[in-house]
Amino acid sequence: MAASDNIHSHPGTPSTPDIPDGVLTSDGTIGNGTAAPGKRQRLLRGLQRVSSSPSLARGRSASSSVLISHSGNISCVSLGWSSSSSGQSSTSSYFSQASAAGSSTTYASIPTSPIAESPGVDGFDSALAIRPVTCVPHASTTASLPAKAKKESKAFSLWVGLPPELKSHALSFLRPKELVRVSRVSKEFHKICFDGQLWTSLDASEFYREIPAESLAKIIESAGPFVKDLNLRGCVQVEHYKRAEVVAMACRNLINLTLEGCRNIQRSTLHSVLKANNRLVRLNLTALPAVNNATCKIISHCCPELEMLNVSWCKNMDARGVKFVVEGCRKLKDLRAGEIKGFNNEDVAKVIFRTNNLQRLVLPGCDDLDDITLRIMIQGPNPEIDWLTDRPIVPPRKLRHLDLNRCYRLTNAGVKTLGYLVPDLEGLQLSGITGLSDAALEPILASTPRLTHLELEDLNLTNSLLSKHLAKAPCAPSLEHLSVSSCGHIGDPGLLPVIRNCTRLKSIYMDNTLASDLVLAEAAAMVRERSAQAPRRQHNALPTVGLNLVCYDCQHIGWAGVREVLSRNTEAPHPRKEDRKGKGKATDAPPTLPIEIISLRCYHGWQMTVDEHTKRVLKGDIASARRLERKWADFMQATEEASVAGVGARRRRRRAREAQQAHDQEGAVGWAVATVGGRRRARTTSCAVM
Amino acid sequence: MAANQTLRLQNMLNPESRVFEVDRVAAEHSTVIRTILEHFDESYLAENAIPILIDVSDDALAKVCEWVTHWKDLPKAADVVADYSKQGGTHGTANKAEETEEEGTENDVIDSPWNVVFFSGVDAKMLYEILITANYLDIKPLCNLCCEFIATIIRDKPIEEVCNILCIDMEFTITPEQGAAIRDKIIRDYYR
Repeated sequence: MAASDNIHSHPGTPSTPDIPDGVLTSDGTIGNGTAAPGKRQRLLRGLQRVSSSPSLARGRSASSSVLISHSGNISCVSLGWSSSSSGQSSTSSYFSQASAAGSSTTYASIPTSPIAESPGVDGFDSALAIRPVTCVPHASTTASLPAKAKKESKAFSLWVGLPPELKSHALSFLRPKELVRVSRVSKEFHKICFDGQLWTSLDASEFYREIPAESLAKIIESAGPFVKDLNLRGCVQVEHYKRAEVVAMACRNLINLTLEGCRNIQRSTLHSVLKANNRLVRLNLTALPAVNNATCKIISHCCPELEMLNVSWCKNMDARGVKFVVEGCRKLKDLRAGEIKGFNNEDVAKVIFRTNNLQRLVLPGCDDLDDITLRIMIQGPNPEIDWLTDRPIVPPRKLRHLDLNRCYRLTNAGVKTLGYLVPDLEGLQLSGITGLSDAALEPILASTPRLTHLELEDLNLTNSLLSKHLAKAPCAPSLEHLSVSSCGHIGDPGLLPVIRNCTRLKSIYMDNTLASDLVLAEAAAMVRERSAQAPRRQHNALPTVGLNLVCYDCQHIGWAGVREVLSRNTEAPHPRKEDRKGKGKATDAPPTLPIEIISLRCYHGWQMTVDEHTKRVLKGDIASARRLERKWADFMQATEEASVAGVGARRRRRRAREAQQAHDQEGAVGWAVATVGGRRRARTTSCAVM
Repeated sequence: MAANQTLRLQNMLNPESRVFEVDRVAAEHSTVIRTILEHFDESYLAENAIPILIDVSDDALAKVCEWVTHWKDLPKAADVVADYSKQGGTHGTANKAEETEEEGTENDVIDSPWNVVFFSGVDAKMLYEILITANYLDIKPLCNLCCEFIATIIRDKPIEEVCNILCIDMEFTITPEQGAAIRDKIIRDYYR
């Protein structure tokens, strides 16, 4: 690095924009420069104004250390980088290729010294790497320093002059791991890096495997009162050497706390954390053996602001603990208590009924929950019955999401009570309750106009529920997600009206049903219709997935239906006004791309072709998608013909082989060369489609 | 009030400083200038240049002007503040989603090729001056950008290199052998 050639003894010297000259190798060597004393010396206070400017609002008072500069003779360093240079391993961004660069123009300690520029540099480009700067050097410190230190001290110190709030701000862009690593640079770095301001949100989920409990405790201890969001998900090391006590002592202002899976945390520690943090809003204690009913009691006393609580899989507590929390935390809206025992306790149900605050109740796998307790939860112990409608007179529930998956004891009698009492319901999950049939769902569907999410896997439903109730329900236009997987009696008569009427569907799970090709065709038509109605977008914007359709293990779905979906996926929506008849053939390749397409999951033998096709459509490569579809269809047809015995069987078999070769080529192109341009006929990598 | 009014800026601490002309829309990135605009009337501004009382070179000031002019359509800092106060809630997941969204828009700015070009010619001193000018004028996005740039410079670098780049004296005098010995000892103590 021969930077020492560039000596600017005159402030007016035009700078040379010679990048290689100025750029420094990444190992940080900086050329020596000769001091060129300037003419003026001014000491300005302006910078103090900077350091105390309130702009960053980082809550730091500007300390006097800003103006400290112990470096004597400093030359410019260019931090220019070139994204094309390929020396270092750049990880994430083009900035990481930064290579320091130095020129030799001298300079004194920055903040207190004047800067005399070569004025009138017209283009910024011409002033790139080397900037002539003159001023009075500090003292002659160069002689006495050792060689290495001398080199360093000659560079312009970007860091030393910065006000502390800017230093802190700059470091706040580093990730926690980098922050800890970089804290070794100097004492000052260490101090800034472990300052609480940088750790208001401490999410250990990225590095929880690697960080020892000691370091974690140290960080939490120093950040202590600043931490608001603490996520220690999966940190099993927390209890090592009792350092968890530190966590408990340090954190006093937590708002979100996740201790999911910290199975070594002890009860006393957990209790002291909960007692110290009275402003907790969201608390996730999933799968903690330390949680018992006493913990819940403490939560109910100490956390009045609590809105979300997750105690799923806590083995050592039961529904009575849930009762304390629901009673004590008046703001609790979201309660998740999957796999908790003891929900057949009527007191618990009464409390849930009386408070009526919960908006989300998630109780999957609570198999103690039975009809009587569910009824009490919804309509109270002894409701007054309206003799005209035969419905209980109780205020409507505020529930918006109800998850009762795998509550096996429930039957029609219990679930039916939800009807007409949960008008705000948006999500209902009843999968796996094998005792349910149509009668349970009819009143619910009739009275939930805001329902968007309906999961009815593995229930004993019939087609008439779908066609007569769901398709005509008030929620039909808004329904987005429907799952009827493994409902063995559901087929075309039920699904067709639903798909026709629920025009906002985004996903349908209908695996293991009796659905046939007609359903696929209907879904394709619905999506096409919907995208024609959609607001016009930018011309030739790439298509998006509008509907996820899951239909594997459906014995009545054949390749013809799948092909129908594929071919519809490549078609652009109908032109709106000018309805040109007879000219809209697929081969015409209309200029616009489809807007929404269907992402299909079907029989695994066809899935690879479907995936490849979807990929091409999403890339906007309609022509190649069509070609793939056509070849696949040829192949499927030839295979079918070949399997028919009789006259000409041999010829048909040969045709099938040819079709397979053609299809293999097409597929291989897609897998081997993703780019549209580089089209290679890769014969060897025959695809495993069939 | 003309939207495309031109404001003049001058570094008052340097008598030979140039006068910079910046569109009003662009200059409003700076909270300081916005405050000045609120408190001085048009006629005064028409006659006098807005003083910049900070000791930076003209080149750095020119770079800052270039930046604000290019990004003049970016939402101004006040809007962002309003967003923050609106968001104020404490819903963890919702918060997170919004944060990532915000990062997304910010990344658009940071990742834009224009900024790469903007910073490609900047040396340490210039970066320093741009940063303190942005801080002085309270131009938040530019401030963030510079700080992020500094962060990316020192990211993934060995400690010695960070010291070199930022010109900080190494304070730790442990040789690599000593360091290895200490590490071994720690490992022995912990895992035995």
